[in-house]
Amino acid sequence: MPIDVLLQATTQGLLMGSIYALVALSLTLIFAVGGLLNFAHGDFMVLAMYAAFAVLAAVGVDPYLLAVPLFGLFFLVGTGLFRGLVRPVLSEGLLVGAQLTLGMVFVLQNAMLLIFGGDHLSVPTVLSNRNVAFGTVILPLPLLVASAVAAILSIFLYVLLMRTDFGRQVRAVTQNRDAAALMGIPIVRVQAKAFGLGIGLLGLTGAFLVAQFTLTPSMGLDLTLLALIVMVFGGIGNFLGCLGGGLIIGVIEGLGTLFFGGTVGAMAPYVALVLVLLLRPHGLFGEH
Amino acid sequence: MEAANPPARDIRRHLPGLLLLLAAVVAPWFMSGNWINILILSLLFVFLCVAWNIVGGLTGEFCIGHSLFLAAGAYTSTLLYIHLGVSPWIGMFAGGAIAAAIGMFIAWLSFRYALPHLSFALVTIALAMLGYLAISSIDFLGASRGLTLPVRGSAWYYHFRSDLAFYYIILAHAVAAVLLTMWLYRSKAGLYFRTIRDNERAALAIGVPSLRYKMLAMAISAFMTALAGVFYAQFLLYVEPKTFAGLTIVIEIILFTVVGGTGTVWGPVLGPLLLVPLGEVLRAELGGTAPGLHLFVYGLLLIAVIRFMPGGLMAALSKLGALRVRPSSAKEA
Repeated sequence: MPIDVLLQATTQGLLMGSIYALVALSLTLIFAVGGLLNFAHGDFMVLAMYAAFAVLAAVGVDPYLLAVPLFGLFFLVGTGLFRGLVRPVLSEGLLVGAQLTLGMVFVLQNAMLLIFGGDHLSVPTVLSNRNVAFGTVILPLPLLVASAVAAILSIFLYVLLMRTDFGRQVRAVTQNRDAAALMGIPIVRVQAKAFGLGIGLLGLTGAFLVAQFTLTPSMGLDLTLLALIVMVFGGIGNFLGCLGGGLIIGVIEGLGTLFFGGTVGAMAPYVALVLVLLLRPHGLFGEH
Repeated sequence: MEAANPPARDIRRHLPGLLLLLAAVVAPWFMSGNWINILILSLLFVFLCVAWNIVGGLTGEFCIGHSLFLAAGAYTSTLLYIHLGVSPWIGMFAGGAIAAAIGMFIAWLSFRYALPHLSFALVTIALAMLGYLAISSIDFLGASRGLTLPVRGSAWYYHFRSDLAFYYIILAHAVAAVLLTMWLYRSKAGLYFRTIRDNERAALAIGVPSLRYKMLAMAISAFMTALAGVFYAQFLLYVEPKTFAGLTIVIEIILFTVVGGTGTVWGPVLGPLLLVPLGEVLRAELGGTAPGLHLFVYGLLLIAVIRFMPGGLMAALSKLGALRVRPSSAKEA
């Protein structure tokens, strides 16, 4: 195996990994504040991608310019969903919440199928089909941009959670909802904001990632599963662990595909997921 | 155990169920071939939902891996049939045994590592994805193209010219499954299942052999799901990974059960009986112009039920007093 092929696969894996990390980070945010396991997570991101496609097709605005508007829109959708749908059923427990989001999976996937049809779509951006060479490693520019944005956002989110009042409130709600309420933290408002932020980030990420994927309405569940795997790797609820978990999954997937071909490459993360859940239930970085 | 109930009350309690059974027996006489197909599909899902409910509702383990069992049944019987000429009537027990073994292994694994609910769901979903990816890539299993079953055209090979025969076979499956859950509700095993669901630690403390009963619940549920897989394969004369090993069918099973009422005897019967025909009619009327509409509607209904009718249709019905539900199951959700 020539070393530059290995290097190429590893680098590409790391870049995809930083994107996975961001998606998992928003999944963790949603899980942490409300105890909702969002199976529709990937579908919201795919929805953002289709929205970007629709705007591009209708008025010719480049998807990259839509990132911020989509963030705003998805933030509102997220807070609305939390107040209208999620919050009333949160007290019913984890599994009911998970079932609710399974319902959202069907609704979102098939709404997209109804509107956009089942054909595979690729969405061009200003950066499509451009590559950047670093020595022997050649990287597609859209991927490079997407992962740079993901990395910046991840750091931003991390700082937000660790250094701001909002972040402290979120972590307080995560650790102990009742105690947080007693400290005068407006729980529902914090939860709604965090939920909106999680969904909003998906809108933003979707716009940046749209060039990286061939769109189909049913691809969201795979993305959700990848994000779940990253979340479990990092230790459920551990924000910093998500970053490491994302990079690891990206590399596992890249090298698995390189060494064993597509099928084993696709299977590798699931095998890893089962092993981590069984052997390191608090994640790779958590205390045992 | 029923001695406390006078027989008259017993009959009245079972009256809705008996009427439903009577309706199911005579229904195909008044129906066209298309509607019989829809009913077959509905009853298949009744059977699948009742099977899932034993693990997902009664024992309270949120298993998303039932596609594994469905595929185990369908593929085992199909391979035995294609390569060795074994009748699916025999192959279905082989498939069921394999599925039960996988199920017991999963239950053992989750107990051995003391997986919390969420992790259990994730492990089963990961195993289901692995199964799907493996089947889609192994040539012997037909990979993503699937396997076509040769037609031998005789009842001995689980093949019938008329759909009516398939209808009564799946009806028998479904009735047997409902009777089994009704019996489970009263039996010691069923009591243990519910104890494990409601408080596993307390169950262990009072001496319920939790591992054994979790494995038992999984084995029963997996075996039944495998039989459904065999039936579906024989009915379609075709197995392929998307239908038999994909996650969509598992989500559908969970969705129908939840809409009907998880953990109740009749919830997993009512859910698919209402939703599958609705979905099929939508698909037949609008499937050409609006693919996926039926799944969209399923999703909306599920969300609406969870939001406004927690406990599903059964809980709503028992609140109305239209159907008597055993108090233990009515409270459940």
